[in-house]
Amino acid sequence: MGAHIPVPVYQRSLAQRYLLVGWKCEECGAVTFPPKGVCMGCLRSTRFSPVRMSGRGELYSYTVIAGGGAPPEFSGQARAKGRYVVGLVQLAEGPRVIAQVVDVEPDEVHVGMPLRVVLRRIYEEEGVVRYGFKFRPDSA
Amino acid sequence: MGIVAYGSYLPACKISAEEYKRAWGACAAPIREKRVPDIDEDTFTMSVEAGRRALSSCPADLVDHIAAVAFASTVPPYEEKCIAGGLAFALGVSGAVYAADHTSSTKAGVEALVNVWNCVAQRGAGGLGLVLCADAPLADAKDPLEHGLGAGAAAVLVGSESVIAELEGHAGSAMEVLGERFRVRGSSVSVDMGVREYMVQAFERVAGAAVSSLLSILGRKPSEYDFLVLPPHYGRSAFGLARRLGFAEAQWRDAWIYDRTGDVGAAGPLLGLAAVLDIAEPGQRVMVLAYGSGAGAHAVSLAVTERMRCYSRPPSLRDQLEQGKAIDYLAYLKIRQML
Repeated sequence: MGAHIPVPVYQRSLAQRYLLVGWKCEECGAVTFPPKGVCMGCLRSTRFSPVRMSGRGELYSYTVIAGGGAPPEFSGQARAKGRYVVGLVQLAEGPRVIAQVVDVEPDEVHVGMPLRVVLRRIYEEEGVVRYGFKFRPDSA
Repeated sequence: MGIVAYGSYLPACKISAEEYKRAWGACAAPIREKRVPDIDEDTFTMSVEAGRRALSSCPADLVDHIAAVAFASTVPPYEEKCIAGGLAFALGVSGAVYAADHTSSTKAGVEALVNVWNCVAQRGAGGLGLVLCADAPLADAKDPLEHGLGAGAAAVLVGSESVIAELEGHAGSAMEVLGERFRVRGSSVSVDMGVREYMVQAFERVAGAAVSSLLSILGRKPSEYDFLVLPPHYGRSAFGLARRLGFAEAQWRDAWIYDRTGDVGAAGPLLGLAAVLDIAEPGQRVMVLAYGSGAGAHAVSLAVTERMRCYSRPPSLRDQLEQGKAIDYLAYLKIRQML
């Protein structure tokens, strides 16, 4: 079963998906991403200001999805590439996000590797290309 | 008025001419290798990457002064949609911008540059404009034209302050040419009727006129240029034209990236310019020639300024050419979705 996200819902989250905009707590300074009703740092504050994160981080954990295990919206990618890497990425600003790790062979991926955000096609639905963030090895 | 910052991007995947030889017996294009967009890349994502690199090479607050964003590609991700609007958003440019999409010709990248240049000049001091061009033209797998088609992106930030390369002038030329590389409405593949000699004659007439006109406007001789960026046209046919106009190989060698990237379509001229700006020194002059089949040509003249000395250049094209991941022909067909 795929995770259907209607276009209006995707539209509302574009700043997160294109620009990694998180919410910075006005009391404790922690960044919550994706935005939630309460700060994930102090678990109390509900006052935030938007902040664009640097897109730099490191790989916290990962898994390799083989052809048969891919959700339907990623089946084209799985068919063409054979397998792909999905990582749990520790961002420099604190939050951890789940995203694909690209431009690297699954065998070369390791926990702790420095990563940098890139914008890629995630999938296409209802004829609309859904762009969003993935990560690639950060050589700089 | 001129270039304030620039950036280039080559997708990581590359395929060698050897792979074409294995698959087809020969590679129909005079390339060593070429770049391939991955299955999750398109001209939008490649433009964003080139744009981010350009913006990372200059002070972060400049993005707030961008008043125009122009996108150029022969294969935009949608046939109808304001692509430049999405790109402006993806690069953190505020909504109050003039957004323009240039498409349908491989000279679209230089059209976008000239458009933004005019736009920024009208606004006066302080205004900036961002040119983003990316291309990944497609042809049928059975068509020899396909062998040379590559992918890549370039971005150029144009403004009137902190200029690293002054835009000195531009000149165009155009005429009706039938049957040279084209793509009909609704088709995803470019075709070419393949009458090479006839097309080279048309190219030499149109592109030659643009170069001669620019030289005449600026009162210059070919020898006054340190670099010449040439468009691929049936591979290396532009070399003959350049020689006849009075240029020498040393002028175009460093800008000729075609044999490593493939034909990058509308992004080619500005990618060639990026290769030059990676190494150019203050006082050096660059001519960029763009050509679009059908046909139009546009030549632009630039002069590198003293400011280049304190500019922190983006990741260089040369380094990117040395990196990358080689794929075989079958993997190529799969990720280009030609199977």
